[in-house]
Amino acid sequence: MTRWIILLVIAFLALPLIVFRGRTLKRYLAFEAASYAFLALVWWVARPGDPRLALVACAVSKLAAFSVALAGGREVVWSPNRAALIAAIVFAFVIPTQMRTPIDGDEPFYLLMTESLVKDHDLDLANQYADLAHSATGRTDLKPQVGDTRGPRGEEYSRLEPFLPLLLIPGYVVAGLPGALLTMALFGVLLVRSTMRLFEEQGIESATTRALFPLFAFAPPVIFYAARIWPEVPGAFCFVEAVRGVRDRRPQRWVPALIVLSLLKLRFALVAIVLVLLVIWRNRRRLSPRRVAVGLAIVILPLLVGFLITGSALSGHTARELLPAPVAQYARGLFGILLDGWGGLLFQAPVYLLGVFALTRWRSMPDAFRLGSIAAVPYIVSLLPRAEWHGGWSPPLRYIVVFMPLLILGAAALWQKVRCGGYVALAAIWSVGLTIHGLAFPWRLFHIESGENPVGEWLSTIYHSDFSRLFPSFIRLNHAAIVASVAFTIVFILFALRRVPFPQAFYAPAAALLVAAAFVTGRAPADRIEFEDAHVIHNGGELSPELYTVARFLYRSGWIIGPGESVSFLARGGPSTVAYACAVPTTIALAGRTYVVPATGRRFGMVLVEIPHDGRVTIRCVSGRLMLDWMQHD
Amino acid sequence: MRRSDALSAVALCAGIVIAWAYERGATHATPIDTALPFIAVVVSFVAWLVREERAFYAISCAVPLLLGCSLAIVDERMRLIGFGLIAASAFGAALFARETLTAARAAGFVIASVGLLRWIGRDRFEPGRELLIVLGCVLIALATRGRKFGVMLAVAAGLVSPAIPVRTVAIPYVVAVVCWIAFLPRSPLNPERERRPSVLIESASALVVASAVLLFPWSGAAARSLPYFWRVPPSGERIALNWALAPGQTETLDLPEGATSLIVSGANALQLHRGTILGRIDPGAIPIRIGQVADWGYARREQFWKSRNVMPQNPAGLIRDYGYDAWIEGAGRVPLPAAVKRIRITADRGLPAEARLQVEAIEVERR
Repeated sequence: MTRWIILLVIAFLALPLIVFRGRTLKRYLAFEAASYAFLALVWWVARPGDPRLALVACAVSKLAAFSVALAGGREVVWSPNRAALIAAIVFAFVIPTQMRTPIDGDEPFYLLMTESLVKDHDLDLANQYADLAHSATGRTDLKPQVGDTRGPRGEEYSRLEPFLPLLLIPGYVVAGLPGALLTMALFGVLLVRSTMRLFEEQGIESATTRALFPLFAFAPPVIFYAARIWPEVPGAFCFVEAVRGVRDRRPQRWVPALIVLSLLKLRFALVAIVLVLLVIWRNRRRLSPRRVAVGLAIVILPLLVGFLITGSALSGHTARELLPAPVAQYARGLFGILLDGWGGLLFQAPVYLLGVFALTRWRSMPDAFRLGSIAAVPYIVSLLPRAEWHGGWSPPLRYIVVFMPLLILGAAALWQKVRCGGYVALAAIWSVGLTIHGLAFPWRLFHIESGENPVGEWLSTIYHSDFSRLFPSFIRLNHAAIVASVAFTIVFILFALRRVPFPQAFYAPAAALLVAAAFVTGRAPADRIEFEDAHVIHNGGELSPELYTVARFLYRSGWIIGPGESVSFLARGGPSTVAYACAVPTTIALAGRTYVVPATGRRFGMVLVEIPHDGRVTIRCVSGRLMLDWMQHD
Repeated sequence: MRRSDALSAVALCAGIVIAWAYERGATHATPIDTALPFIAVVVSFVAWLVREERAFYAISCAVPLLLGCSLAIVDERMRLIGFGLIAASAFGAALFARETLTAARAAGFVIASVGLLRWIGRDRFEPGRELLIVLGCVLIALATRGRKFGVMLAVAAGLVSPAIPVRTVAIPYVVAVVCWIAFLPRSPLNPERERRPSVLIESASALVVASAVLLFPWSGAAARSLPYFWRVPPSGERIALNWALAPGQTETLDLPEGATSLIVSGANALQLHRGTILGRIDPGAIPIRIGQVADWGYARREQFWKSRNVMPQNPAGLIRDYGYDAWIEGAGRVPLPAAVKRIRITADRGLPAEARLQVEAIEVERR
């Protein structure tokens, strides 16, 4: 701990020296000294029970203070290279925080592929699975995943694209897992530099750039993906480079960027296809066979690589994914990405919502924003109807990380036209909280897709009342989601029409009002009880389906109780319907009455129950065994 | 930003928080929780003082943060520290946001700080004396012509004036007069001879103000026993004894396994000087002195000024009450001799007749 504190002090001394000069530097260094004294006092007074959390909180708060000074400083020297240097220093500290628990999600499989490439010079993971004890992944529970392909001689090929593992080889050879993470952080640094260069090229003022730079580089989702093994950050870097190249008509920039983008993840090829078509359209009068060949190569290359390695060009995907789906699925995915309490921009990266609102000022937006937005459309349209629009078992916003530079560019352009200081301040403070949470508890970046989120769960656990229902969930659709969707649509239209002013001074009071209202509402019994949720007191029993079930969100989940086991929760008085499933007739007791519920087999059944009055009730299993899904007040 | 917006925001915040506190009142019992609307009004006022700065928006977010803190942190101590941290951040940010202050703004900061430090969480509130103190503090800010240094002096003066006895109300006025003389145009001490304020002094001043505000839930304890906050070690398990030994009285005690120290304080011992022996522990005739322990209530606002005790070297007392009424018990930790199963505690015969040696508890190592 002491070593980390010393390193942090050195880093925080270096940051102002990179960008501040003159009296601004002097003032900041004085603040720096004062802040250490203040933090020491806080430490002594609070005596933190979790020193790691306290250290992360101190470091992130100091980084936030530095960011505020950077945004408002008068004597500041600023360039994309300096931004990259600052990002490199910060990311170097992020890596150890993410190594606190073993890598998760797709990460260990990418690393297994790297190990296979280094040790066996192939992509067959069968021997890696057989000897996980010697793997740098630190995971001994890995096994082939759904969608992986098996070769004729028992070879195990991952469904994941092999290009990212290829990029990780140098780092892995030098330092194993930390080396691989360092490689990812390097891509993060490149992404930051490239995005700041894009800002410069698009005429974004230095003050605006400096204000938004920390919210891009050091806030979710970039900060979490920059120190984890996912193709999203390298993909975002390639996307920015491709957009810059296409805009500036520089094939030497966009051709390699698009090739790498497509090889990183097949779904990114949808972005590449649009950009290639845009280039062809722009040059339609002087189209040469060479240009067409380059365009085709960008599209065909990833398919060819996939086919040669696994025998399947689409690598687990099907062309059916591109066919239109019911409109409701699009709406759910779209509003989910925007507003979901666990996987939406509003709660996970609120600053980027400004980029969405920037669409309403389309004509006055920078070229690169418009170009990138058009390129993103097929990808987004194909993503929205997917059941896994939220990213599955990964840190939040996985599938749209690639477009974060685009959204932050839109946010910057909008910032220059519309006053949004009130919203940004609120979003920045929320982002600071998210960053502290994600760095201190990296395992919580992964969350079962249950319709709850960490804040809702925390409050529900404290008060044993359903606070999760107040957060919009599009994973398990709730009333809050519908209300939030309608409200967002209205705000979006009003903003587009420019009819209603949004006084910036009212954001903080509005937030206070929301918190107060949420507290009052949250303590009241809910209409609908989901029995697996955190607010329910479980006296025995088990979760169904089990916690780490693949694509758990596709199942109806609940809580299984047997004889003597019970669940207790706040409920509204009056008649209610309980949804359940059981293999044998089961007797339950509720509020002094017993109910014998018939067996349902593989399906779910309903039973009407009577709750005498608002308050805490208990459902106890007397005999048999049943899964309780939900209870709806009638 | 328009001033009317800012004013409305402040008013709205206050209204919301009052409604909130009404709803909230039944849940949390501390007077600081009850005073949440006032705290929110103060931080909103501080934000309003820097309404032309970008920081205004961030500082006004302190109100929802206070509510969030109240809602999400159940542990009383951590929740109150959370309130202190949010308020201190608001004050610190506001003071750092503006390089220079006008005298009026400095006076605003002083009123807000003194209000937060002295006016909430109190059972006994003397409006007349408090008004005099805040007036004196404002005079300090005016005398220093809006320097942050002056704000710091004013906050410090406001903090250390217990207002009991009444003559202590004069402290801020004495400081104000000294500042006024120091800032006379021809005074060699006049810091206005420099064109710009010293960065170091201004930052240190902001730090002191923020640090004082951090401890506002226990501002009385901070004013009278500040070192307690870093001297007090994590306590072990305590086995209560609650003995009060008269001069010359002796008690024998069988020590439980793992006993490390005795928690001792004095009663009616306010007038005893540092080093005075209160009693002894045998075997070894280990003396228990004022300085190791103090009178149990020496740090109360009513008694602090007349007490000759000092804070125990190894304090073991708890914090009592809230706000400016908060005080630290005078109990201290006296280490027990090693490998001893039984001890004898004797109150010194030379103590005044009404004085008592209070043996409060034995402290045992946590398992």
